[in-house]
Amino acid sequence: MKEVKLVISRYDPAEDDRPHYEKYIVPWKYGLTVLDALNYIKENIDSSLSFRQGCRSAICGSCALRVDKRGCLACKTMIAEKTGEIIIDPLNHYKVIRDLVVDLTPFYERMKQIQPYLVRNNTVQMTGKEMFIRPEALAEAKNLRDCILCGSCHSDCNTLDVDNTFCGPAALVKALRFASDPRDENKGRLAQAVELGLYKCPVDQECEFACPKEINIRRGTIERLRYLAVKNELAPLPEHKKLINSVLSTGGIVPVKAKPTTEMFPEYIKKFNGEPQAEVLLFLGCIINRRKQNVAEAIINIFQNNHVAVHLPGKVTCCGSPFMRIGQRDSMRPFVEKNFSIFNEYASRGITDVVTSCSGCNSTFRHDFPKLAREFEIPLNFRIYDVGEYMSEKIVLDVEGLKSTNIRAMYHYPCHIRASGLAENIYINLIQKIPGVELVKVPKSGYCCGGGGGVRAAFPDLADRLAIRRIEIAKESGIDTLITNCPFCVLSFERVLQLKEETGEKMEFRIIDFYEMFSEAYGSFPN
Amino acid sequence: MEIITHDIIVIGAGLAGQMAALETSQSSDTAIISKVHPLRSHSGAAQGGINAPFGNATPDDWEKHAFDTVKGSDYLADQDAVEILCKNITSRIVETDSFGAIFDRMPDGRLAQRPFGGGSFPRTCYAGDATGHEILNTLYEQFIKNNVKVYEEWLLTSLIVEDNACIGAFAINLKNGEAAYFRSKAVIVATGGCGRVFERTTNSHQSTGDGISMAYRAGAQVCDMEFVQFHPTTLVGTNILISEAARGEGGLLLNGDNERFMEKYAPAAKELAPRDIVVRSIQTEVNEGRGIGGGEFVSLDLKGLGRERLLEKLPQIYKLAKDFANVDVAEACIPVQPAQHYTMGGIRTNNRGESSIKGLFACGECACVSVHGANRLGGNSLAETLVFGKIAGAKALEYIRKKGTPGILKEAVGKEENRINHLFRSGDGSIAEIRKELQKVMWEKVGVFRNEKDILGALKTLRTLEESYARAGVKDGSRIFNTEMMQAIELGFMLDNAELIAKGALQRRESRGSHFRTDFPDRDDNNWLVHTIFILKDGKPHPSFEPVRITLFKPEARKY
Repeated sequence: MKEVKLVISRYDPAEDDRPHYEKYIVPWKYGLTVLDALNYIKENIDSSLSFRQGCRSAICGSCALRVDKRGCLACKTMIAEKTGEIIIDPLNHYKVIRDLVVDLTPFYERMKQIQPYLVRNNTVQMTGKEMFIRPEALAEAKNLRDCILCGSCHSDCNTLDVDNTFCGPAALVKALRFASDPRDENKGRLAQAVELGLYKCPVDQECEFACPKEINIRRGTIERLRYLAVKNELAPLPEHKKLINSVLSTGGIVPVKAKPTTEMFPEYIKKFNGEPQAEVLLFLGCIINRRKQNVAEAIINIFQNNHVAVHLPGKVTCCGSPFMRIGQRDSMRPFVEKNFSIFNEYASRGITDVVTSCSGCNSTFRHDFPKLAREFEIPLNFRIYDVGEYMSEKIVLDVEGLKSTNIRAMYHYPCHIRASGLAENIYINLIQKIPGVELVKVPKSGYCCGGGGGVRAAFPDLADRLAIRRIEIAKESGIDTLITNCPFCVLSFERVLQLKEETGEKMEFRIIDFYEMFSEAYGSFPN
Repeated sequence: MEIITHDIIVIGAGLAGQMAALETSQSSDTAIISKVHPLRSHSGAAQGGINAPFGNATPDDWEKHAFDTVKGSDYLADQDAVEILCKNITSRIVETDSFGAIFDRMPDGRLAQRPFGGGSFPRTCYAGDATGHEILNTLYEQFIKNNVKVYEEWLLTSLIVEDNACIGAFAINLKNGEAAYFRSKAVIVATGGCGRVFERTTNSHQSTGDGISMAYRAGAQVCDMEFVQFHPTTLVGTNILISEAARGEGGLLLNGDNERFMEKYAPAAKELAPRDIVVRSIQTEVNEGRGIGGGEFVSLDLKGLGRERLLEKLPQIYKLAKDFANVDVAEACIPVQPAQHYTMGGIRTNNRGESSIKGLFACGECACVSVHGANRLGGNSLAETLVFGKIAGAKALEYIRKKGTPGILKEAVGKEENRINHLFRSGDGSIAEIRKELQKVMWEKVGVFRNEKDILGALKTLRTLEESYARAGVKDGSRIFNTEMMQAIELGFMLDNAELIAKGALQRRESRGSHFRTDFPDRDDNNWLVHTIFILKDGKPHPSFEPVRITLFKPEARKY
């Protein structure tokens, strides 16, 4: 008989000082859900195991809990055949009543802050005839009504980890559901959303990954609300205005302090002999181009080692991500036009692979630009890749040339990479090609560096707390090195490590840039 | 024991309970008590829609709706009650719409209506295929707006009755295990059905017939319990509901020979015949070896709708099939089988929601008004909750106007405390095992096809299970969120419901609507155009009969 092991958090406040884990063996069969397994334990092993359950079809939201540290519905979570062991915890950010049962009161109370009901001043006459509303007028609200208020999003929210004044994702979904309903007469909803923390979300999408109803929380809700806030002149926030002024005057969110990479290298870089195995357009993004020249050099070096010829156009501009993230979608046109016309121009010469080194740019090009380009009728004759993705999937990677190194670390999976639909394993597999690197499994991917969504600019303390929290989580697993491949993450971590050092609370911790590590393993080219 | 006083308590926070509480809380001190948070109520699982004669798709009026309902009920519905349902439902939907529910609409802005089983033409208003979820959330939003008092996760254990008047109820706060005496001038029961009595059911784990059993134990009349609706299309194995809307939108039923078998059984309505007929057709195919691969299921084919329409009209079905059966409905058929779905019988009420006990009201699935008779039409359950929830609330308000706060029935307190404490004795046998056996015997012997021998066998097993239950004890000694204790109390309720269903099924020697006796396969209007009534007497259900109120349509043969 096939079996699966469940490690379940048990806690009875009348008996226990704190929760502890207990292990249970459950027979496995195809289609076994976590809820089935819990019921098996309750009926056959230990009748005192406490959990909530209801419809067992993902509509009532009763059975929300965490499986391997991520919020989900027990009834909807199938246990795969090869699962050795799974860890079951109660939802995070709530007081545990017993075992897997939490007190959701704070979640419901937070919801009440946004007036979660239709506000109408006139009363409807009960004539037996409905209001006439065209379906398109309700289309947006209709898309948001799937929320079952299970609390999974709230459990996995990174911001709530460090700031419990934030109203949380579900409340914002509800806010937009009413703000987009033509029948609603509460004109203050957007101002309220801004007040309750709309700009405190680093758009890391943890909530969206947890959501069992697949609600589009990040782009469809948070960024949409931000867009509406900008339209209604409730945003951008003053700090965001500074940020975008920098983009408008210098073409990037970070000022030019040292010589940018694009001025250090020729437009065409091919140091190897013979035919290239690929030819790419490398879009560095402002942070790597202006601040992290060493990362840019590392990427170029990796490509040279692998006989990939690199085009490095100097005239590209900001990817526009800061504008999108804070709600200024209407300012995007020049960025799309300029960058995509350059990409198209290269494509007309046969260079159709655009590779970005910054995951923020990548995610913006992949998700936001195509829609905008359609609106502006700009063709897309090229394909966007992330550098790591390109290394993993588009070229034959030289593995022989990787020299051994001695690193024990955890990989920090950047949210923008995940938002681009790129699996964590792409990067883990790449790292593991370097001999001598020991990667420690993360308790859960998706912890936030605090660097996304404009949080660092508007709420620097919050961003710092997120970064510190992320480092602490790694330390709790006995790890003092993180490898990551997003410049926002790297800058965030470096900043808090420096801050801590300045205040005399030095954290023994090291951040390694993924590309620099790779480049070092190859040695500089030609070697 | 703590004493908590309110003018009116409403038990159950699904649609009927919420509707009643919204009505009463405007002008009385109302509290709603529910063993789950209101949003977890099983009303939220209703998928396909809510019937109302708006006539937006085809000209319609309340009489046509009433006729379809009465015919669907196999003429067992009380027609004056049906008249109230059909005359009021449009106003209730307009009201819900004005509360902010997002119903699907026609291009010109009117409410969209889809075809449903047993309806002469499209009459079912809907919110995608999550209509219950939409209305439940909308009413709960009104709860928040109006600050209605809710005791959530309090399990009701019994009603308090003195001189045939209900003056409160006992409940346990699951969070700390403490019991309280709720004193009130009136009690409205809205606890839903008892689907969990059956092994195969679409119902939530919480649908254990609590209110029906509590009212029965308190001496109220319980009516037509033998009429149990089975739903034709539920996922094999899990019995998760696949809405009738799937067939309303054009889904086909196919047997193992790839034959559209409904053409044989209901040549005109085919897949959109009422549920009882479709269920028996599927079960007949299965029993005669024409299930898929000879198995216990047939196929629901939605491929013809195309992916775009499936995502637009049946997004939940699309996801349920993917998540729970690993089927892409745009590419493959869904394996489906019948399972228990709805409890037509329940606490007998008049057309104002009053039970046979003064001050005790009932509405929704736990009540038997009766608007569904022997078979409920899809789309009429949500309609009933809104219409009769409001009516019961209004009547309760009227009732309490003349009432002072009732006294405390002291002897009941000790008795109830003993009863609960007794559950924690060190008994033998497991609550879960008894429950499983109960569910199995009810499905196998009092299911879709019934006969005297099977039912007698089931009753015999039920007696044994009663004895085992009397010996079994709750092993979990903690008083904090003790779900084993909750399940033990629920099992007691389930045993009552099961007995009433089986006894009703045994004595009704005919076949009508959902109740099919293979030994009496025909409808018998001469002897059985009556409601089955049970009341508790000397610890046993005592039967009587009540004629059906026929005011609009003479019974005739039921063909589709």
